[in-house]
Amino acid sequence: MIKKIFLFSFFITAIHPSFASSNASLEKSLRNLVERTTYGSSFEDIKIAKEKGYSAYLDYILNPNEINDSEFEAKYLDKNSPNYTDPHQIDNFFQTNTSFWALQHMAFSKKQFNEIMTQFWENHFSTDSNKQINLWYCDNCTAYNISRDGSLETFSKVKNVNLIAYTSDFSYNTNEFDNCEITLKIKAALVPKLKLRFKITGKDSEDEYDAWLSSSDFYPIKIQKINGSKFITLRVDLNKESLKGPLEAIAINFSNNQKNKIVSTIQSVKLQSLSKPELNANLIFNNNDSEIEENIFFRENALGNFTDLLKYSAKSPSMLTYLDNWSSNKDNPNENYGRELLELHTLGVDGGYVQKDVVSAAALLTGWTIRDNKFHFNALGHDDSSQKFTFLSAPVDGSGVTGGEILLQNLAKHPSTAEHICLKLIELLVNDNKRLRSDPLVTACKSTFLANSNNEKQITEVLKTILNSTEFKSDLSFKSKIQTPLEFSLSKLRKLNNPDRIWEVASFIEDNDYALFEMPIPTGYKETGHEWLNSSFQLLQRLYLNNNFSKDYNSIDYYVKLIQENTDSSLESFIEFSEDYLIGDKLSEQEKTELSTILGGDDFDLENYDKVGEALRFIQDLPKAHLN
Amino acid sequence: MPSFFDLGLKSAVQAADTDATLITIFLRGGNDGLNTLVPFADSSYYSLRPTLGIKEKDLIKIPDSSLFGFNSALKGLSKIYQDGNLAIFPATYNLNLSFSHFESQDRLNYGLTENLTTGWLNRSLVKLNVSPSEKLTAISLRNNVHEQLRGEFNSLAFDSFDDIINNADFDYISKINNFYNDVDLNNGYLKDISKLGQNTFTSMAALKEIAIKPNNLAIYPDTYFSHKLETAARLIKYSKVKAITIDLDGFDTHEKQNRDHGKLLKELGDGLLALHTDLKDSHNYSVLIMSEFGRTAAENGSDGTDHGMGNCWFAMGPKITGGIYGAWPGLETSQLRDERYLDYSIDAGNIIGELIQHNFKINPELIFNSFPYKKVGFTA
Repeated sequence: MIKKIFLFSFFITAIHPSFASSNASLEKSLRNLVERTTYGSSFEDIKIAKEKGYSAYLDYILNPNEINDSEFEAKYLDKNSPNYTDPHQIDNFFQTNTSFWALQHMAFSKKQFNEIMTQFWENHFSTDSNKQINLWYCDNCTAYNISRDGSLETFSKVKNVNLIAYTSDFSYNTNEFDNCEITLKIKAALVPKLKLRFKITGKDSEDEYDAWLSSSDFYPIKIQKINGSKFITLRVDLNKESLKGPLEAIAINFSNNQKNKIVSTIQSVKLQSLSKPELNANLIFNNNDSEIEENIFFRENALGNFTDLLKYSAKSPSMLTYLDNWSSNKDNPNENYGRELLELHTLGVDGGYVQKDVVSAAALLTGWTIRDNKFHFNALGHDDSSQKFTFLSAPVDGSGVTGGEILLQNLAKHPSTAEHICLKLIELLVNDNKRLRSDPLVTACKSTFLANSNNEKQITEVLKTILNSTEFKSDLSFKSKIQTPLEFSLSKLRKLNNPDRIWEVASFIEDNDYALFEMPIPTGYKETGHEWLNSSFQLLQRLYLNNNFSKDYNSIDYYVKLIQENTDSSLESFIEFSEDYLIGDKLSEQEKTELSTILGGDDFDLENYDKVGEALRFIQDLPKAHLN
Repeated sequence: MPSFFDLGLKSAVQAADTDATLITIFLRGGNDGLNTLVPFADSSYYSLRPTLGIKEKDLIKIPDSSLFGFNSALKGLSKIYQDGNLAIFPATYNLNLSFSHFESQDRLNYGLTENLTTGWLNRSLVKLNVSPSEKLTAISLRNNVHEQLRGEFNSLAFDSFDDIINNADFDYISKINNFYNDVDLNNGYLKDISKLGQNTFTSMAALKEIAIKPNNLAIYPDTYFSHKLETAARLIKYSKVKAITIDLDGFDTHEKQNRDHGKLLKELGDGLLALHTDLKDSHNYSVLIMSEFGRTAAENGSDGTDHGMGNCWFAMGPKITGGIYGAWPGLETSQLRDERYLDYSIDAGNIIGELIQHNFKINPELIFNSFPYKKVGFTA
């Protein structure tokens, strides 16, 4: 039984009986604009749109810097606020709060369209923060890290047990391999003693170290100075005989199979316990910081210039690790990023490139790697040769970091890229219709994109073209989409003004395969409706979420007050207000009758919170409530 | 008004009949066929893969082959092969000139040579004319409908039985179901949502019954993938399911391939052996093990392999004729495509086509209009 609250009389004086009548609700095209440019239209969003009208409202959302968002900032971004979430914080399960922090922006910031576009770029340049844990970097050498799920189950099958290592820097200077401290922590079940062998091979010297360790302890081992070393292989072999149970802690195998001259300063090497990763969390390379920086950049440039966005993404440690470019060097280029750069980030799969172009792109980007959690250009690993592309008239000079930069610039301004980005934006904002690159709206959008390629507000102009188009304003766009899990769950929170349930939103999007910063594939999440509401699982999940939101006292209380403040509180007004506010479209007679029955018919009592909760659940579960 | 649970559910949960079920298992990311079925006797294999190459002594030998051995993680598959129920296609080809995961997967899931947006399993089921009262005909064992099952025919998708029947409020479900019958059919999405709702709501009771059936004696490994195979086996035993799709992710091994690949293969092989043991000859089913493309013949600089062409596929089941199908194109530089990729001897479409023919008794050319189908001959 939900407790009722006492209602003060001033709510009654604030009645606007005409709100829910048809001439007071928003025109279809404006309502559509509000729905597509917010994570669910709150009562306030609709009010602002009504006051401003179409073009002023469009201006308003396209200029986020002029929107006063101080309430959100004070409540969620101020470190002293109880609601503040530190995105850098890592909990015991090695999860970060980055996703929750971003979710707060989406749920509560008034710059809603800017948030939608921030997520659009996150999606476009999608990365997976899971890939970035334990990253070990090393130029021109091979470094190993292991998965955290205990893939080395039985030691006897493993020839070289690899170490997880952390190092703050590598250097090409000689004589820096002095007094390194290797700290190892090993936890192996059922093994009283472990034998460790370090083999340090220098150009001028070769030494071997053996050490016996008890399990479950830290053992610092001093490695002696190796004078004049220029080539070092550091390898640790665990004695097979000593290990009988599953090995839980693993490992780095640091070898230089390219035989390049390299001397390293290893400041700390950790052999990490997989069962308790948090112990070393601060020492493990963690790209979470890069995800946060990237998210902030995308937010600041969401309506900005595409070249800037592309360049940022290319050099972001998140992307460099996600698509393996950090390990790509001239002797062994890795094509993963080069391919997705052309296929997903710029030209599009049918945008006029061939496999040879992928190879050339990868070559220009060799040596683009990471140091100290930042982009680093490793000249020694870079392929300086000039590269030809089928989609560019002149070859690109490959020398230095500029070769790759020139390629990015050319790609960002290429007509195929303009079409590809426009196709995606139109799908996001207008409808899910399959379109050709020659579609008139795509062509219009593309002209704007190309004409503004040097404009710092390029994307703003592109969005204007789309949102002012006849097609967007027509019925072809109205109610033509299905909300993604992110849009669906946030819209419940926003429409029923229930900020405390943001935790539920966070778990809902994960359960529905829409985890933020953890895109499973480089395409990012799809925007088309069939992707997100095609299965029994997805439908039932939505029904459960509706139930939880609708039966929450805070939701009902907010809703009842909305009705009281804006209508005459009659049953008819309740129904009329609800179909407009919650659905944005008309209910059928059958649906209205059922709603009326749920609410008690002639015995309708707005203060019967149980019945109002049931009604909210019912309306939101209707088939048409899934449309956006 | 009849109870909504009366809608043909009884027949859906009767004991299994003789209808064949097709299970497709998609190894997402492009499985490295060369380290799955290892051509140890092809001398180029070891020179192409100094780090990743698997030594002959570490392989599971195949009695009638002097060329190939199974990756040691594939004990399960080798056992099925010994039983004569595994067909191996060492050099399967999927036309993927873009080398894109997404395009190559789409091609295999939708229309092969044609650019279609409906899945081939879905189109097959449409042709089968299954009675609409049959509720559990096609299942995607994941949170959303598999690409192969997208289209007009209504199928179910769920990760596990628990996901769909736990906490279900059956009274409410019965009521809301009525409002999924009467919608504006001009809106495509609305039509689809109402079909989805009706299908979901009316299938739930049937699923509940299957989920609580006692388990039988086969022991499935405790992995996410094997749990799905166990769910599949249960559906095969207690319903008239015709198509089940399962994904196994993680095969895009650009770097540190040895870290993950064996583990994935073990998951695959051990799970399939459990399914094979569980269903034995008592049920008619086939399993297709597919992947969008193979990987480069040579290893790359990150101890991984990049996107390639020819690849190893498998089909298994009581009615599958075990053996190795198709010639071996070879790994010498001159034998490789573009000097980088394993060539092919069997077109993937022919394997898919033969299973369509075998399981559904449908001419594959009706499913893939422009694909020139040729039977491989691994089904009786």
